[in-house]
Amino acid sequence: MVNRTPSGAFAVKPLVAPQVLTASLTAATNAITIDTAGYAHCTICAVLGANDYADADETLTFQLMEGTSATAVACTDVSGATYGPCADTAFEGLAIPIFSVPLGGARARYLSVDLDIAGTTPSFAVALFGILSGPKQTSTPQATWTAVATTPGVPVEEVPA
Amino acid sequence: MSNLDLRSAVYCRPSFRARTLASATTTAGTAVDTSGYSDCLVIMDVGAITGSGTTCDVTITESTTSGGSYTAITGAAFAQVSTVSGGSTTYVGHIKLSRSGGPFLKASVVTVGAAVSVPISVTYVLYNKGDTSAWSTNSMAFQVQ
Repeated sequence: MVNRTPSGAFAVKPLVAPQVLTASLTAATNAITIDTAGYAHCTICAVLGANDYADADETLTFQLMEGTSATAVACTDVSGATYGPCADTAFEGLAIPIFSVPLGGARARYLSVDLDIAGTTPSFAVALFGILSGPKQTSTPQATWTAVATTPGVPVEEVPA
Repeated sequence: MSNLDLRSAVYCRPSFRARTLASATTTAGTAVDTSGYSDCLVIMDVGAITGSGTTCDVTITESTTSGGSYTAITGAAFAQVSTVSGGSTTYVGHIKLSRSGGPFLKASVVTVGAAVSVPISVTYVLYNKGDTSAWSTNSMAFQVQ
């Protein structure tokens, strides 16, 4: 189902450039994070190509990570946020929205993804990007606040600008 | 300007699955049926391009049937990427659907050069309903109405 809400723009951000991976891409080797500041939601999409499942033990698992700085190595796992394992040809040639991430709240500002690869002769063609959407409304902070006298039980009305 | 929220709107379809093109050739992507959707984001992900003089041109084509004859959509082409321009970049384009050329789209990828190595994927993100002037902070490679 597709929803549209009056909440603004979106932005597509690269996360993992297209490549053939034969070893895990960890926080230490994936230098890219997505800065989610100003948005309410992030969808992370994986694009998969031809993979090697020759030994029937090759797997690819995605682990969502987060951090308070743009340095991927400083990111830590988001508990429970894993996708996979991709372990057979059903996962080839797909574009999959693997993580749908509401932002704010407990989520840190920067997101990244670990690609955990295992098996005898693993080889996974993969690319990842994120789509930020639902930009938060911003306003100019008021310099000072003026007290509004109220009578108990009487609602305060909005003060005209 | 209209607004877009993709929190549950992502309908991803691979147009050109992730791979590394290793020869000078023209490669057609997978046919994707866009029926029922009003708009399509075309997301081209490019990795590190190597090879002397390597260039890569991606255009989007359309057809009325999945297995039919595909023709290029005027204006739906990414700027050429090359060894010179580098890579490891994500490019975004937008196509207004419900086009007379048909609902089926394919990416056509043309690589030129010696010792070509172009890691690339092209993905369609389809979304629906309402007007289509949603905007992005990305600089659109193209806008087709």
